Formats: sequence, structure tokens, C-alpha cells
Amino acid sequence: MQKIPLQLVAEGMVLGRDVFRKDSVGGIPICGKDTVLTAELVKRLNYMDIKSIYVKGHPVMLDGERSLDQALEELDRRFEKVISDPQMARIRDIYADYLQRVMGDDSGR
Amino acid sequence: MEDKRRELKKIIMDTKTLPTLPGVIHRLNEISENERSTMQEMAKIVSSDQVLSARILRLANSPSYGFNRVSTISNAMILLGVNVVKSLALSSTIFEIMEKESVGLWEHSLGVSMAANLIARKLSLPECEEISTAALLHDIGKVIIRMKCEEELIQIRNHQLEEKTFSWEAEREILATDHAEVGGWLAKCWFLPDKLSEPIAFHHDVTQSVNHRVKASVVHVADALIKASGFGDSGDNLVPRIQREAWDILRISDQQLSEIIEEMEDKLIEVKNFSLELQA
Repeated sequence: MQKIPLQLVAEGMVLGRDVFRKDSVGGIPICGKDTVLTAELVKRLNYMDIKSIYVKGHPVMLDGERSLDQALEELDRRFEKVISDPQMARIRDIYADYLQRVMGDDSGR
Repeated sequence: MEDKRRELKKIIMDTKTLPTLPGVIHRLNEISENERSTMQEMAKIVSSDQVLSARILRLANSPSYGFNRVSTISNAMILLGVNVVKSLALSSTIFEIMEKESVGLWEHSLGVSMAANLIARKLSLPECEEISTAALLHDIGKVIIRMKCEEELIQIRNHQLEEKTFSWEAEREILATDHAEVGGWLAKCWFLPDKLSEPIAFHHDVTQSVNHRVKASVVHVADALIKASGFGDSGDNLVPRIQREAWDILRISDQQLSEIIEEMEDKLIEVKNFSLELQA
């Protein structure tokens, strides 16, 4: 799942989370999860001042974004000094797991 | 070495060259000491300074605080509390410098503030807003060191690179003090309450915090998590070890930790957008 600015949404992308009106988070969703997005729908969301939405997979490569391998490598480099500490190693694993989930093959890029 | 530290403290705390406080703060202090003054009166004083009002509203609307659309100063003061608004006003001068000179450090500070707020809420801690503010200000000592010790700064950076140490270790080596302690001095100088000055002064060693160890621990953990995610640029590329004492006092479960990291990564996109908006 990826959060992207509405400007980058293309037809055919699938909503990963419900979209709510800006002023009533927690109210009734205006567009449900799993909806396939059309140009008409995007126009409506834009009209309702929705700035960004969650879509399934990872369809957009944002500026400066790295590949999963690069991201994992950088993660390991940042943890270099503390990886022998079990608690810190666990945090590293949670991050690695997170990265794999949002950037890995399963995420459908 | 101790002499050097004292000398530095004198230079750093030389009020003639410290960023001055806006006159609004003094009036705000006077009024907030009077029990009979109202929130409206205080809001009126803050509102008289346009630039300051704009900055407070921007910060109150930042993802760090997680409120939806705060549009008036009196709402900001009610939601954030007078003390928070006061310290935001205090720090606005210095953040103006930070924003221009070092976007990376500003983004790091915003990120840590958001993460600290998230942790505090997840653990249902009291005074979440104060914790966010302390986190927003935690590296303020770095700004002072950058302003006052330009020559030593190069030595600090070199030492940090050569020895692969953390910034505060390098600072101690060259200056005999570090940015956390300097931030603590500044907080004292500005008469910030303990609940803000302790987390600032002890965010790298929570064991020294006497009265607000929980708050200091939240900032300590939030700082490490933001460094782990690689967001912003604090001047340290390495993740520091989170102290045993901080884990013990906060008791964050594995499940909570995963949730915090996930939500944090999610919110960092908003923080980045917020920072870009501010720079525009």
C-alpha cells in the first residue's frame, strides 16, 4: 500500500483505504476501500479537497525513492553501531519488515 | 577541560548575543502569572504580533500535534495550553534561523516531535502536547553551537567522521559539553518549565533526569526511531542505542512498538509535506 498525492493518481489504481471527508475523519467514508479509481472519481475527490489517498501496491516511484535493496542496505548502515543490542536489533527487524511490506514484490510495484 | 566548559557556557549564555525574545513573551509572562487573567486576554497579546501568530498557528496545525485545523490563536492556546504556546513563541526566533540554515535539522525536529506525540498517546501518558514541544526543541542546543562555535564545528564534524562517533560524543571531546546540555542551559535562560528543560537536557541520558524521566525517555526513544527511519538530518547518520532505563520506564510492548513505527512512517509523509509547505 502506498500513500500518494491525488495529482499522481492514475485510472485503474485501487483504493487501499477508505477515503473520508477532510473534516469528519471517522465519519461515513465517501469512497470505500477496494474501489477502482476512474478519472471522474479522482475529479470528485479533488473537488472535495482530498489531498492524498492510499492505493494498493506501490504504483508510483516518488522523487528520491530507492529500491528495496537500497533501502535495506541503508537501514543496516544506520544500525551499524547498535545491532549487537537485542532490543535495537528488534527495532531494526520491525523496520526491515515494514520496508519489505511496503516496497517488496508482494506490494505489487 | 572544566574551565573550557565554563568559559563556553559564559560565551553561549551571553545574553547580548543570544537571540532576543519578542516583547510579547514578557507581557505574556506577566499576564499568565495573574490568576484572574483570561485566555482571551492572552490570545489578544499573542495576536498583536502577526509573525508570531502565524508561526504558532502553523505549528499548531502541524502533524506533530495531530489536531484538525486550528484557526484562531485562542483555540491554539486552549488546545495546546499556555505553557506550550509560550515556549513555541520562545523558540520561534531560533526556528526561523533553523528553517533557513538547516532544513535537515528542522525536519528531524518536526519528525521527533510527531513521533514523541505518537508514543505518548499510544502509552496514554499525560501532557502529550508538552512532550511534543520538548521534542520539537530537543536539538535547540545544536543551533546555538552552530551559531556560536563556528570554528569548533569543523573540528567536531571531522572528529565525528574519523572516529565514527555520535555528535554529542564529538562535541564533548572538542567543547567539553554537548548540544543537550547547551539546550538545557538555554531552556533555563528562557525560564522554560522543568518538564520542557529536562527532556531537552537529558535526551541522550535519561538517567540524569530527576523530575521528568518519563518525558525525557519519550524524547530519547522518538529521537532514535526517527534516526532509524532516516528522516531529516540531525547531523548523526547512525542510530543511537536506546537506554535500558528508558525501556524500563516506558514499558513499550513489542506490539505497541510495531504499531508506533508503522503509524510514524505513515505520518512522516505529512511531516515532509508540512515542511515543504513552510519552505515554499
